[in-house]
Amino acid sequence: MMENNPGTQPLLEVQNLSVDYAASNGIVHAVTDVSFTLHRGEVLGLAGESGSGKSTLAFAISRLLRPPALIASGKVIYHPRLRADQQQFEQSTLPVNVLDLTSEELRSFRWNELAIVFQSAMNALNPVMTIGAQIMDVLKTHRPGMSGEARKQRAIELLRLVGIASDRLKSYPHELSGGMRQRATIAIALALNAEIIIMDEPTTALDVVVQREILTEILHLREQLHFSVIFITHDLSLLIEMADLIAIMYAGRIVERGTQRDLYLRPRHPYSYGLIHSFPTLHGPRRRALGIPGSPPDLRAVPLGCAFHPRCPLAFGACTTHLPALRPVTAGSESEQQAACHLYDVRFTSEAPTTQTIAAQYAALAEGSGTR
Amino acid sequence: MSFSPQEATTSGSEIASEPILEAQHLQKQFPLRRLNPFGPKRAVRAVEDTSLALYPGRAMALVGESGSGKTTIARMLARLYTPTTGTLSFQGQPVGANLRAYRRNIQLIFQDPFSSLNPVHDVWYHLSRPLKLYKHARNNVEVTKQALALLERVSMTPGEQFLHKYPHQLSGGQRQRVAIARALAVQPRVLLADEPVSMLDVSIRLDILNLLLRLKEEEQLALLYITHDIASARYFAEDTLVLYAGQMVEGGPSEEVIQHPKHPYTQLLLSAAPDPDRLVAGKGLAPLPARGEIPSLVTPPSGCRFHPRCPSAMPVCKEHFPPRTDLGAGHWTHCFLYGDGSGTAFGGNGTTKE
Amino acid sequence: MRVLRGFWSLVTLNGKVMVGSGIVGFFVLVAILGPLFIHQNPLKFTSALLEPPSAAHWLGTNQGGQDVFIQLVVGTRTSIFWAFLTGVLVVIISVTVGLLSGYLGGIVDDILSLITNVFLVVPALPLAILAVEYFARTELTIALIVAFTNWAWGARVLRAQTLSMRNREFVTAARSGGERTWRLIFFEILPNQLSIVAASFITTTIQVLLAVAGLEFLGFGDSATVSWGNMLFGAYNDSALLLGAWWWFAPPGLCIALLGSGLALLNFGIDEIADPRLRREPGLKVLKKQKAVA
Repeated sequence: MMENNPGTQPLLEVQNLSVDYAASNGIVHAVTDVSFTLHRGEVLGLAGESGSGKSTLAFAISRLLRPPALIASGKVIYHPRLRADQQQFEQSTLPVNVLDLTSEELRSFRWNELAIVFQSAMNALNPVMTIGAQIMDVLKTHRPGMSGEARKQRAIELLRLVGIASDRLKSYPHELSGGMRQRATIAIALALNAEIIIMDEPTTALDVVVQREILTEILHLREQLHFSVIFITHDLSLLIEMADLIAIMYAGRIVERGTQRDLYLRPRHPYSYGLIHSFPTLHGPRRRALGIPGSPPDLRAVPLGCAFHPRCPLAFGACTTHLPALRPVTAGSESEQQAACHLYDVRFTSEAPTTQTIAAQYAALAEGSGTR
Repeated sequence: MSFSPQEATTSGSEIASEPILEAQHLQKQFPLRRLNPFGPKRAVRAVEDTSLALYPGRAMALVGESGSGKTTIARMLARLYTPTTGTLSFQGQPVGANLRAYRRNIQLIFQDPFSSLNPVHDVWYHLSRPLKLYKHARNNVEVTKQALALLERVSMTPGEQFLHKYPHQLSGGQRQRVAIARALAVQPRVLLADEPVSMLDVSIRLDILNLLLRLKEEEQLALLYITHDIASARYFAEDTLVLYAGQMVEGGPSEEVIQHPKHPYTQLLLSAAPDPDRLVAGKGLAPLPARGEIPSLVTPPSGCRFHPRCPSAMPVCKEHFPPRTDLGAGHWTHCFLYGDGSGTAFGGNGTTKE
Repeated sequence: MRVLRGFWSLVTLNGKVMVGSGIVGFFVLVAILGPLFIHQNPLKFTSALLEPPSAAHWLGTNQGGQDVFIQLVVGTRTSIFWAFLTGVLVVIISVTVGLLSGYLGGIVDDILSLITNVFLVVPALPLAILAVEYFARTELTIALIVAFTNWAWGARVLRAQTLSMRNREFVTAARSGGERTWRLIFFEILPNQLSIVAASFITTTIQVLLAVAGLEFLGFGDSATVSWGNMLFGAYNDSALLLGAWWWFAPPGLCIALLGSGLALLNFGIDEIADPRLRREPGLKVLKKQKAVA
């Protein structure tokens, strides 16, 4: 039942997570009050620009944060399941709060249940070990019962899975091209059949053709091995093509959440609209586009009320004083789409705007600022 | 100021003005140190036989991935590198030894806005240097006045607030604007922008691109826009040139090249580029027509360097680099699928000569 | 006025810099102003031999009846002067050699690197002793020798830094903007290396201070000059330790140690002054989290 459609079983529930950085002259709220649920076999995309908090969020979930970063509040509930292989997490299927795990439990959690692929493979791979040795190292650590020969076979199998020939087992990272290195890190991440793979900008440093190959491979592997993916990137156009569910972050909060179609065809939050239309199109009419005026806020000086209001073409009074909460776009509906915007709050706006209205406001901005 | 669709303006074949900068058959090799002094000479063959022309008031995009040679070409045009062979002419005159006079007319904008500004100097200093060196300002008072005017042209107002800031106090977009202002201070005729927005946040990229377009219109600058993002090439430039591993493979009006790509590499690039419209059309992620990676430039494949990855490769592709085939309306390509330069144009489906 | 205010904000940047510059500033003030208040010849012999500190002689007298305090104050000027002078000389040489060989490369680099490497291995102290015996037994000789044997390390470091910096984009940008080579070296690259240059200057100054004091202590200084090292030499020769005349050897020793520590503290904090990126931004208020309108 774990195929392309996102399963209905929740796998990871993040509830009201907040992360602060204690800087020398104050506290910076990197992530505030983030909640979402990841289901089995689902690809969740986290999109945002600098200061959005997306990478911090990923690190917080995997408990990789170091001081001065600290998790201020919230829970990360993981729902394990009984697995076919011997290694079982907690020997039970009771949900656990990842943030409460002891270091023993954390070691077992990491890589067995949750694996991470980082942005720069060159930095994530050990330059003085062959990639075969690095894969087998992971296996040796977490599967002490495995024999050397079995480890080697598994390493070859993993490399084959990501499209690397087995004769590369003895290659050093610097001998491989950028794309192959990134594939090697994916192979390492898959070594223990993790349930969740977090990918932090895995293809940003790669050329567009290699990027496409790797993304296609990730989706293919997902179908085969049934893991879930949290895909973090600033490139929203990529997510629209490959994620099931997308959450857009701005200044540490989630401002909109929805499916790929919803977000592309009917973006509700003005920031989402602006972000999607910051990517010039390959086909269709050629039109002047504006992006979003202004720039992402410095987290040390986040505007009061809605953090986006200084840049928003539809901002009004309440936006400068009250912080909007993430709520369904059509009140009372079961729709997945949610936006944190007063435009959809009946207490502030009598009639919610359509995507066309938002488009019109942005277009007016483009006309009016002809000299920009 | 409205943005007129490019189809309405002059197409490649009827340029009204003369090219302001023309490069013919540029080639660049970087010699490598030989460990074995008796072995063959090794070099990185970065750029092979590239020719292009830039016109005032028009933008040309150079599209390619890493290792395609696009940055090397830009640096050769700016005479930061000397071409191994080939000629460069500015306003019809060959570029001679007087580099300072030449550099007055051509300026480069770099990819990383932070490292292109000196971290120990403030904005005023950065703008003052070209103003003083090219004698546009004679004393500090004039420098300040002109610096404020430059900042206003790049939409950094009020200028006084920025004059004494250091690069680390500015955001990425602001730094890039300062870099553009610095380039403008020289009063060049040509701007070479090397991936000017790749390192900026997505939502501000269009702002900077629109700024460059506005400057192009107002001052009739010739722009060269180097990028790996073919969609932004379509947005920004009237003409596009596609590079692969140091060789030009296709070129022409942007719309023509992007909607009707002829060279297999261009087709590969377009199918690999993110295209959310595919989602709406109901298609999934399209399978790529070719796999593989960019070859090493020290020992590149012979003939057409794309042949190891090309789904339509023919034996002749390994032997020589295909000569140019004109496809009409200013669109051209270097591919044996379309012609061998002998005057016979083939059908677009790759029928062979036999 | 703006310059003074800027200077003051630099000095009060952090604790280390404050304490360090306080100590060094104190000694510099004493060196400049102290001897103006002394109306007595420090070498004058009196009949009050080896007397402990008293109202007449603040730090007592030595074996020859000379006032220790007066000698200390006058000696400060000598010691500091030579230390800083040599430091400046070393900086000038190492900056020029390091930057030129790093930026220009080629044959210039080859020659200058060869010279640098030679000077790196020359032993300082034995050479100083030899030179002092051969040429003239003055502080100048010692200072020159110490300078010639200490510039090489700084030059090496600066050369390496320049090599990596000359390919930085802001250098390329300045070059394509028409800057001339010498301006590129001294106005674009050098300001980025100020922290290394300053650290090198301070380190050298400490070394010179200790080297000069050491050589004087060994008796190679000019006994007619009053300086801390010579005071220590005198104290050692006349067995001040055995005689329990702590007021003779302790003050000059302490001064050397204190000045050295002050300089070292300054060194630790100097990075922040040179690099504008590390200067503290105006403080941010503790942000209160807003409650979402649920």
